[in-house]
Amino acid sequence: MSAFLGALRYEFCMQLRRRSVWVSIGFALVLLFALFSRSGPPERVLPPADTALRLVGNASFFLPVAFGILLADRWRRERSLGTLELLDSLPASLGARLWGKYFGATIATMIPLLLAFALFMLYSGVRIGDATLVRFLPLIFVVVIAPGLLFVAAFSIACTEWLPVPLYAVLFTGYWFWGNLVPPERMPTLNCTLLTPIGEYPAAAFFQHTDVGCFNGQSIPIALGLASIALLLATGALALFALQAYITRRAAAR
Amino acid sequence: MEIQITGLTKQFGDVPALRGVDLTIPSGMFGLLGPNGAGKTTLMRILAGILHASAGAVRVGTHDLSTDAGRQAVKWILGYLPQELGVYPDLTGTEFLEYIAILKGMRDGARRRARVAQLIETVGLEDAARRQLRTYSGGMKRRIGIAQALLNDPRLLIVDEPTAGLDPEERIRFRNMLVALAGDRTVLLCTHIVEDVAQTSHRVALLLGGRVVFDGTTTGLAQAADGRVWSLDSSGPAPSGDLTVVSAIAIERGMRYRVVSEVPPAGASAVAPTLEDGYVAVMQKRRAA
Amino acid sequence: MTALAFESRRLGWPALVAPLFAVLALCFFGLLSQVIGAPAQTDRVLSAIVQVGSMVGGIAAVSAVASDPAIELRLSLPRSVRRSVLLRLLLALLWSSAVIGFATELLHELGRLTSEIPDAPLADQLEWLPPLLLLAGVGALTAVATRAATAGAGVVAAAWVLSNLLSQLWSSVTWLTPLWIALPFDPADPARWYWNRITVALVGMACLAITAVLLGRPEHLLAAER
Repeated sequence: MSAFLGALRYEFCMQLRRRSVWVSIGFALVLLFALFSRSGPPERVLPPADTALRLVGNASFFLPVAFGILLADRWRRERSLGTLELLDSLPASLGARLWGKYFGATIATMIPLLLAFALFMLYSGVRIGDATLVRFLPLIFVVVIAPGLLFVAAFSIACTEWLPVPLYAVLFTGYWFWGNLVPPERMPTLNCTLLTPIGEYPAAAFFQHTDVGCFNGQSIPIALGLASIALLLATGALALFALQAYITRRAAAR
Repeated sequence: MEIQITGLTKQFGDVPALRGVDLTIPSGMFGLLGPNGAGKTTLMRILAGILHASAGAVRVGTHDLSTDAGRQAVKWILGYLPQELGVYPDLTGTEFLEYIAILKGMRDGARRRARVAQLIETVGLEDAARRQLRTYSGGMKRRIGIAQALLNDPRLLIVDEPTAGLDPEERIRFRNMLVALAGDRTVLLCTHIVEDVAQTSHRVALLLGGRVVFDGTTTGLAQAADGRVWSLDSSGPAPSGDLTVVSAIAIERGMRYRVVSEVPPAGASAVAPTLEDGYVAVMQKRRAA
Repeated sequence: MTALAFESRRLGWPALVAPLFAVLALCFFGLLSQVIGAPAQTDRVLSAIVQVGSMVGGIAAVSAVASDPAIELRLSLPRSVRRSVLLRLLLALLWSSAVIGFATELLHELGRLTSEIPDAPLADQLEWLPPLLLLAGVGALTAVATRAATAGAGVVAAAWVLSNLLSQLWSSVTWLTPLWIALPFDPADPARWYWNRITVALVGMACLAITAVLLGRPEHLLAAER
């Protein structure tokens, strides 16, 4: 447990200190501010939670793309820096290191992202006359956004064991567009399924946010919201377990 | 080719790395010693045209390093081995050397390949030349680093910790190679291993805190410890106080200590100083000052 | 081997494979649409190459300027790092452009390109080439300015996704519209689109020029994020 916590703590610190984390998310936020600088209040009055979800939805279409890419080099880094051999010689298990790295780096990258969401909601809230909309953010972040981010983070860390980072960045960006933004009637896609990391099911099930996106006002039971969260977390965990098993087998074969 | 350094200062933000260095490096072997953080690597990078000086002047032969043209001219005659040599792991030893040779302006393919083959042999990597660098040991990477520095038959050779990671035989072989190369060239050897300087260089400089604290011959540096080096046999605790224990060897009845100190410890006898003693004595004096 | 061959190896196979992969992926999805009974969508899927191409080129450009493990040694050599990196960047851009350009032309010839742009020579190429230059410029500049390739890739990906979303907002912000890489062609006002293409390309080239200037600063290059 202490090895896991140690890995988590120092991976967290290292990721939080990276220039790229703040630069990428800062750039995306500036672009978002610029785009929304002319938008007025919504055409009709919505419940505050719904308005908050709409604002979060606008940002969550693309901020997680930068999030996924920022995590993509974390696992490969040990090899490129030459620290892998040292770490392999330590008594800490591979599992403790891998999961510590996953949670540490993911939580660290979530911090600027959460800050970006908060600033965007404050900015938009002030523009539409309700600066307190940001009070919904913690709950929305935990229920709607975080499961998708954990899912994305797991694949970003696991896939780069096999794929070079630039190629992963291209594929991931393509996947994000295809799996979250392409309407299902246009082509086969993961969009509007329980595996959509953008969080449409949890938003619809827990906040009745159904008038935009996939559901056309149709209500979604809480069980489906929970199922979507569970499926995203389990699929992410599966990717990491697969990576762990692969590395363990490779080490045994050496 | 003489290197003249006058009032050289280098700042990294608020941190001074070099503080008014004045030094003349003549042709032949020249040793540069100093503790970690003394500014040796910064000085080498400036001489290699990688970093720009914040103030002061550096001339390498007739080339002024404060100008782009001067830096570029020095690069044509330079062989440089950095302390931490990064390599391209996907290239073989031969390919890496050939690539660096191209970047050093060696256009004639046949001559380039012949030179690469010759240097591979010089550093004893014939058997590993067709293997990717990712499979090389630390010592083998060091040897490929040495080979790349020699590719263009440089008139100025700057080597930073060249023997780190080499086995004793390789170290001796490389030291002898440097001495043989020196001739009318200038070879600047920067190292923590005083023995390497003692075995190769006539002239040496010591850097401490970004300043030159000694500049002279290796004999002169050893003489800096004259009357300050003592040998002491003791079965009790190690000697302490205002002194530096240079070595401690277990003997039949206790320990034999070699100590550098202004005041002789009780029961100690004077011994002839070595270069390492001289280094310690100069550092001791400077730190006390 | 020549300097060009060595620099293409330094660029790395992922940057060379990525454009081909993008084309193949779209062909796969186009085929899938055909098979599952949505043939009307096939051409739209295939035509997405003009959007995806710019992102692929942008990330390839970031790979080209990513930090060099032998940077200290390289800075001591007579051939400048700037020259080598710009050669890699040029290779990445030429290769991406060749693949995307060929795929676009092929779709045009086959009549599968769902574009509203009038049938002028090379007009279809303007759909992807200026955006590719802009994303490559912004990505390379970010990667070199911050010495963090991941920052460059993150910025390219976020900018690309955002450009293909929120069309109404892009149109409403007057000062940002000239930089909107996904500005739709309006037959009623073709000049606006052509000006947009020129602006996008020029800004991209300006970013590449600033990148070239930064590549000439050795102290900056020594401080790469890893």
